[in-house]
Amino acid sequence: MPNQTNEPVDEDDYIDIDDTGPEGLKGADGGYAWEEEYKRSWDVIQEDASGSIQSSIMGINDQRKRKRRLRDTAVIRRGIIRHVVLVVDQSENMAARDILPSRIQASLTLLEHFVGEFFDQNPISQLMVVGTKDRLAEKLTDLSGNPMDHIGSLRDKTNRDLAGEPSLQNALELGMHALKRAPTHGSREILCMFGSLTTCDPGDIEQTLEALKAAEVRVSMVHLAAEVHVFKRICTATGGTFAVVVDDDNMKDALFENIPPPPIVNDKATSDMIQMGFSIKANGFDVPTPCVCHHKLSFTGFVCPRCKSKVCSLPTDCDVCGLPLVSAPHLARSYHHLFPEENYKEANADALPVDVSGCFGCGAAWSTVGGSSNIGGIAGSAVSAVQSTAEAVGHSGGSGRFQCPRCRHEFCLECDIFVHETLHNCPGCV
Amino acid sequence: MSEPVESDASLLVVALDINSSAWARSLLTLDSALQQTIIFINAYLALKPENQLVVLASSKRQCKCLYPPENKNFVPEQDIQVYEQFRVVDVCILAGIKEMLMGAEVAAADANRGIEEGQTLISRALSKALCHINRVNESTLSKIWSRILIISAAEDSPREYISLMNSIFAAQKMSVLIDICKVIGGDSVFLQQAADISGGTYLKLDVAGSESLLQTLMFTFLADHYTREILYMPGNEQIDFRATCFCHKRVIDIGYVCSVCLSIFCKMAPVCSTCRTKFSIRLIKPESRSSSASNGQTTRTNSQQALSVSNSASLSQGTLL
Repeated sequence: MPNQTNEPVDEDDYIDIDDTGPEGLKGADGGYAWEEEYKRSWDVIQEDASGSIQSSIMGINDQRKRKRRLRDTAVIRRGIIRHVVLVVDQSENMAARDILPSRIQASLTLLEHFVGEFFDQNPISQLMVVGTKDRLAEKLTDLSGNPMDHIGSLRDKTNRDLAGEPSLQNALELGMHALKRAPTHGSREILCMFGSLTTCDPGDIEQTLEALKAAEVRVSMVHLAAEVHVFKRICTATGGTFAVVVDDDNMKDALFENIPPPPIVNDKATSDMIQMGFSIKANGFDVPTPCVCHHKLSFTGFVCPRCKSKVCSLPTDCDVCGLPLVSAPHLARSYHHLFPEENYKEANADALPVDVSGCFGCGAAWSTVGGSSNIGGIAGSAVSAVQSTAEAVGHSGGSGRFQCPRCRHEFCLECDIFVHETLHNCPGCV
Repeated sequence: MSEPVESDASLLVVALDINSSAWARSLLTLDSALQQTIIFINAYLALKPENQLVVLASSKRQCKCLYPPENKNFVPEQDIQVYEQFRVVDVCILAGIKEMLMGAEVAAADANRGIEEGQTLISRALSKALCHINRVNESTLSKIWSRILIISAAEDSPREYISLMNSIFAAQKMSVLIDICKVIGGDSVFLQQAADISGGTYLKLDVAGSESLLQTLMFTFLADHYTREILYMPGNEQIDFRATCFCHKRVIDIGYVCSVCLSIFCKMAPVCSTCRTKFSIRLIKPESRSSSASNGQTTRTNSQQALSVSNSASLSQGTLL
């Protein structure tokens, strides 16, 4: 458990006990998590009457999915165009192996996914990577909209050399300095991935905090070990989030929470018209020509409509004239943040009429996708995957039927999650 | 895993467009197209015993799943002359389409909610297809290569744009190929984008060759993920990803985008006409901050800059455009 400390602490020494966090330090029986008996994950899984554990696993999965189901769907103004500085702790503390294979390895692998997903969801945003080790902060990539640059730098082996203590203040100052030049219509964010419980700073971090507030930079942090007062204060004071990672799964969730664009809260945020170039894919060169971004020879590319230089991928900024280059689908990709799908309502199990047709999305019969609490045995003899769940027995408790408030069609839990997390439009409403 | 292994099963979702007013305009009758499609589907099932199939049919008002049948109690009568699975699929598809066409005639008097005659609920069919694929992916442990084949007859309907785009991106994320076989009418810009973004193939039948639907299906769309790496697939021609502005519907190269709602305009305006946001006045002047911001984003060395300029010069003189 990464958030346990080894030294015994007196009750009086506690200054900041926060039991209201998403995880909560207190366990189910009122004691602290470390006072509880160790839960063995394999004890949760019970065999059913036929000796199969499949139903038990399905039940656990179901409960996990239900947790993810409800989201904020209010139509609010979000900072679609984001400028994010990613701060990676590269201190010696990241060598700890409480997250396998090591904190730094796990973080960098996850951050690679994060960068890919970030640009997938926020195609016209910009990112910058900063590393901090040996009491210094170092810029690893410039603020840019090209995911391959950032992923390349995260993959760079030299970034895995760990040294000394991190410096939060230096990293924040560096990030803030880069973000100050970002236009005011976009959001400015710093996202830190820290494994150290200490920071070695050259000056007063309170002044940095004031400067961050003045520059309207939002600081969020994902901490791999424990909650540190000063880290948390900076996050909350600037309107960001602070999360402590419990295990591998949780690490991904905590980091990926930062992918949807945050709502705009400050009044000073302006809105602009941004000039963008819609470049055309250029084929049919007789000889390969180099791109201005990587100087690699290729036959294809996208041509900046303003300066006619060739870049190799979209979205990006033209390296010659600085015009943001996008294609129409990139803009369309952000629309779902502006108009989120409404949450479905779970229908009451008893009040439902018996319906021969199944889920409107995937067509699975209702008897196969019943509630989570009482899933019976499943014979493993089904032929096709669509039919493999066909022999699961009925439902109680939650009905497992979720109704869209707009089109009144009913969906199973699987489709509900899929529609809201991946598809972003209701098959019934379109 | 970089290269797909041949032994993997695939899942094919066929979305049939049965919009009667679109089919009425074509030389190829729906009847004959259906026959050819069913032969193709049977060929697909015969390729590998573990191949899975979903058939959806979409008209301008509804989208239904024909196979596997929504009504699980549906048991077609036995016929020992025909291979069992082929017969079940054939009967399901034909019965389902018949039912939908009959239903459509009855409901023709209804108001059709902004969908024109000759347009089809393609985005609904795509959404449902992706839901099916998601369920299959979730319920099996082994990797299943999924693809969607849309046999499309109708025209694009602009109000479907956003939902169609959402579906396309979802497909791209799930690495589902979207193949398009456009049977009737002109090219569909939306569906071309669907095929291009998801990595599928877009093919429009020639008007004269409408009878060759089966041949096209067999030669182009029967190949699975693995085989496609070896084959030389019909390439997508140059697809225009340029945007049209919201104000004059003109295709533009350089446009202005509202930072709040991402509407595209061809000229600077003080107020966004879509979301009514007022833009900060300072930025309407030509020496806007965008140039200083972009300078700040990348610090380049002189040599790089020189190279870029020479590139751009050679490009603009060269074969381009």
